[in-house]
Amino acid sequence: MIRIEHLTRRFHDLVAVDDVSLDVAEGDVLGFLGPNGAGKSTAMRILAGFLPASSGRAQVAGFDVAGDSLRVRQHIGYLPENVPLPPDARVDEYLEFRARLKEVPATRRLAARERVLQDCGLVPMRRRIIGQLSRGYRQRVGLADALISEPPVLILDEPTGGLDPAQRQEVLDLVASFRGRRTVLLSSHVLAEVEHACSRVAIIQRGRIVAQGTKAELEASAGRRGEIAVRARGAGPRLCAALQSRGLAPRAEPDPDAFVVRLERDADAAPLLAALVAAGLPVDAFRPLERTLHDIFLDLTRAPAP
Amino acid sequence: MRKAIPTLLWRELESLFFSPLAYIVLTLFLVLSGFSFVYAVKVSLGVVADTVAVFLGDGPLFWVLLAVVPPLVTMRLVAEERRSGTLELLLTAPVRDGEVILAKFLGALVFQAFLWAPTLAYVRILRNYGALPDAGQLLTSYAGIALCTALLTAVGLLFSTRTSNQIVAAVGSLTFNVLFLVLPSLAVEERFGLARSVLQAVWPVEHFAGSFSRGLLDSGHVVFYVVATGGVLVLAARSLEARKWR
Repeated sequence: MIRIEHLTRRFHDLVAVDDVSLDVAEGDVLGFLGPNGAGKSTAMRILAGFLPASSGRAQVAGFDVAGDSLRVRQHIGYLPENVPLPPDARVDEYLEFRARLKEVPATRRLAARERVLQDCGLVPMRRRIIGQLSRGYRQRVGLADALISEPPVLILDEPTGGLDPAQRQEVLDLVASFRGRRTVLLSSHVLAEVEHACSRVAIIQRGRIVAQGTKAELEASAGRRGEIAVRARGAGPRLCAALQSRGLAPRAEPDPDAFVVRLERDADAAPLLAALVAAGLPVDAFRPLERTLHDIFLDLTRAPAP
Repeated sequence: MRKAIPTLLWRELESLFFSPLAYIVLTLFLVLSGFSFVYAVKVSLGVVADTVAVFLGDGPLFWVLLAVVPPLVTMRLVAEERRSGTLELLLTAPVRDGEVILAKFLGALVFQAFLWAPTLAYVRILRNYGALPDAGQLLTSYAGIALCTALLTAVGLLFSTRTSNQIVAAVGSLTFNVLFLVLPSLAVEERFGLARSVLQAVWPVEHFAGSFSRGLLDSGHVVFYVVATGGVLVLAARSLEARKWR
């Protein structure tokens, strides 16, 4: 549904989006993950037809974003970063205006409006003036606007920005519920959100896609960390000494009784545990650390500038 | 015409009439047009045709209104949407840039028609004193006001597309208006040659003094305003598209 080929966007000598290629299949929810300033918003603005690309092509729902911009815009629901909304309109009046603008037929407008008010939890706020709404509700109004024409493709730029944890969860649950029904491109710099709501992840750093795939694919490709967390309740100093005596360099954890050690080989784990138990240490936790998406994200986005 | 334009126009009118600025402009307009009318009555010494001509064309306050009102009405049209970011939402909806410009232009014109409507009351006052203004003269005067306002509104809109600061837009288009209305009066000498002829030909003050205020409708003038307004609107639409230039 979304196909991006070698997309590049320059602003003078800054390359905001650098040769990005990406495919989002119908019904997929793709998380666009990257630190602030990585180029997520620029890429999304190009897809939404607000900015042109410097080079490369992008297609949404089979239409070219440069050549067939109007058609593309008929097929997307776009939520820009920071959700700009006119402060002087009432929620339901604004949604009515947007529905008309997006050519929702008159006979379906009322139902469409009620549906998005319901889905986005805006029913009690429908007569409120947008300028008087809290950040969380404004975000929902933006989301309701993106959904009102039932577009097959949603482009959501940081839909959870500025929300409290409960609101965040609601928005993410809503987005997750689109899986299989709508194609979603969602950007975020918060990893947990992407893990929760998205079926696939693309990590972008300095305008380039540095990794993409499902969460499992990314974690598999990154390999294991080779680290083990050990804890001996009430015997922290002894544990530390025991680990050091085996030539390991224990790293302290917030829990004074717990340490993390790096092993050369996975096979070293079992003898280590046996030795610790044999030394009479009350080991109550011994757990190999998985390499999480979080580690991959940090590794990739912390990589030094080329 | 696609359905987008009435939708956009309605939204534009809502936000024009809901803004406090609208009522400040309305008040300013009523005060200035009131003074302008009193002035017109005084200098015309009871000749009704002259009163109408001064009030709706030849008086200095009339030109102040014509130069000041369009920038005040148009300054926020695009600049404010750009500043607040709502322009992005507007332009990523399935609407053409030209439709956005046209709707905003029409909205500003409707609002200004609302501003000028009370001046009909002054004409009614003249009738109360037994003097009947000439219907043709009134018609051409208001036609002139509509044409000239349309051009200056398009110019204001063009300035508004170039900035995210309303003040910059207002001062920019006001400066243009003052130059446009004053410059030709400075170039009266023969030695200015072609520049003089061109400036005189496009000078609204001359259009009013020579025809609109006299009950004449010169098709040349009408064509000039319509073409110039259309041209500036095209520029404004192109200016909105300028974000897409690489």
